[in-house]
This record gives sequence, C-alpha cells and structure tokens, in this order.
Amino acid sequence: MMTGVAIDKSRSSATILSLRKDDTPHEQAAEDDARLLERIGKGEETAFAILVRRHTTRFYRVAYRFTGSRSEAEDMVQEAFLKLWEKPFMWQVDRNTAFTTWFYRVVVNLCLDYKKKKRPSLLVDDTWVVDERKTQEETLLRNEKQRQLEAEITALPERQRIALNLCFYEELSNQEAAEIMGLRLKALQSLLMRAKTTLKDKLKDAIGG
Amino acid sequence: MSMTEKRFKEYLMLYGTETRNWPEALQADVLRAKHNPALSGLIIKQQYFDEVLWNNRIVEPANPDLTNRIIVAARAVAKSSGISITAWIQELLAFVLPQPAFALATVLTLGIVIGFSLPPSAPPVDDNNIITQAYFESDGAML
Repeated sequence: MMTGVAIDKSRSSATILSLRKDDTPHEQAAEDDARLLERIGKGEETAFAILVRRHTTRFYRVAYRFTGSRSEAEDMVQEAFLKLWEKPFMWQVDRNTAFTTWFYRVVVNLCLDYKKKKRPSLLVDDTWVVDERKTQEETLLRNEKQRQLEAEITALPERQRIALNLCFYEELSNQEAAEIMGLRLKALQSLLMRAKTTLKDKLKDAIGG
Repeated sequence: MSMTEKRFKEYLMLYGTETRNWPEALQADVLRAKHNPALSGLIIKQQYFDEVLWNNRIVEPANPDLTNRIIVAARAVAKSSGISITAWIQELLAFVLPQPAFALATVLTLGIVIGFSLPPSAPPVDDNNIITQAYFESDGAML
C-alpha cells in the first residue's frame, strides 16, 4: 500500500503507469475489512485500531487533495472514522459493497459538506513541499508548476475534481468511482473527460502543447 | 483528426496509457495503436500529461500521530452496538424538530397514550341502587 508523499514523489515516470491498482488483492482486503467490522460491531477497540491504521493514509490523501489543508483533512478523516466507530452497522456486508468503496463515499460526502460550509479560496497556499535535493532554480520552477496545477484543479467544478481524485490519483476503476459518487458509469466518465480536457487546455504552456 | 483518433484520445483520457486498464474489448485497439505513428504519438503525449498531473501534485504527509489520535478519540465516544429503532426515531425527531418542540411532542404523545390506556372514569355501577331507585320512582308515580 502506498503511503504519503514519499511514495508519491518516488513514483518514477517509468513506473507511474504500471502501478494502477492496490498491491493488496481487493477481494481479500474486503473480506478482512468485513471481519474487522463485525468485531467493531461487538465493541472491539483493537479491530477498530487495525482498520484505522490500515486505511487512514488512503482516506487522508483524498481529503487532502480536496481541501488542500493538512489539519482539515486530518479532522475530516477523524470524523469519518468516529462515525464508523459510533455506528458500525452503517456499513453492511450483505450490501455487496467493499468497505473501502463505502468509506470513500463517507469521506467524499464530508468533503462536499466541507465545501458547503467553507468556500475554498482560489488563491493557493504559498507553502509548498520542497524537495531539498534539487537546486534552487529547479525548486522554484517546480513550485511554480505545483502552484499552477493546484490552482487549476481547485478551479474545477467539485464533482470533476472528485472524479479526477478518485480515478487518477487514487487509481480506482471508473466503475468503482462511479459507485462512490452515486453516478452511472457514463456520467462519471463524462466528468473525468471534462476535468482532464480543461486541465490539458489550461496547462498547455506548462506541458508544452 | 479522424473519428478513430478522436475516440482513441478519449479512451486514453478515460483509461490511461496502460493497456491492462482498458476494457478487454478495447485492448486490441491499444496494441494496434502502438504500431500507428499518429496514435502512438497520442500515447506519448498522454503519458507526459499524466506525469505532469502526478508529479506536480504533492500530498503533505499527515501527522504521524493521526491514527493514534483517532483511536484515542474513539475511546471517548459513546458507541451504539446495533440498529436501535427507538434511537433512530429519536434521532430523526431531534433532527427535524427543535428541542422545545420535540419535548412538547413527546409530552403530548405520552398524554394520549396514557389517556387511551386508562379505564373510563365513570363510577362503578351498583345494580341494587338502580333497582331500589326504580322501585321508589315507580312507587311515587303510583301515589
């Protein structure tokens, strides 16, 4: 399972397109999660702790890419997990939905609520994660690209942004992302297409045509 | 741009440049495209675009203590162990109504339930009294 920025940055161009799915076989992980949730339903804190440790990074990434704020993303993930702890029966095995799919939906809904409560500024934060190995010039150039890309993604309509986050950055299948967003496959694909087309047009200069 | 190229470009955006992520029915098209100079050019462009998207968007790592924070916070939270219909109704009512209105509705409901469950408040009927009264009334009428 990929974790945090270190993995994001270490993903070379050679491997970027070959690591499209989770390392853990999906079915197996879903089964394990189901068992953990049964135990959580009986009030077992250890089961809850295992589930939190297993999935926090993944859901934090989604929330972070939506809010652009570490503290808000952390709060959002905590809120989602506490909801699960309080009412573990909210997820039901017999609904034939993987826990992660369902929990993505919970986090995405929290993201949408967050948007309603607080309209994010189009001005992107000036603090950037800097790779210290690069020269100053490279760093500046990289920061500028980050800033531009982040601004363009932030400017996308929220559903397009979520579709892009789920399909591209979280590497979920289009079908799974559609299920999470409560859309038909075609509708999800349309959102994804529009998001990428817009970004391609806006970033034409940055990517050289 | 021919229709095929346009469609191929759309598929590239939807499924990426990795053949195995394409629907099985379309995988042959990707393999064929690799031998077509125009289409293979599209693949290279798409790869570059994907790299720009990926490499320039960095997620600031979460606080390493986040998982522990969540676990500790969960200990302080009351937990419901199963589906409780009463709890669900209470939550629904509490959500829909403001608290004073909810309290009033509860009191009224209780009043109605108690009212219907009690026996009627008329005094117990004494058969002897009725017969005696009827006797005197009829006696008086005869007099």
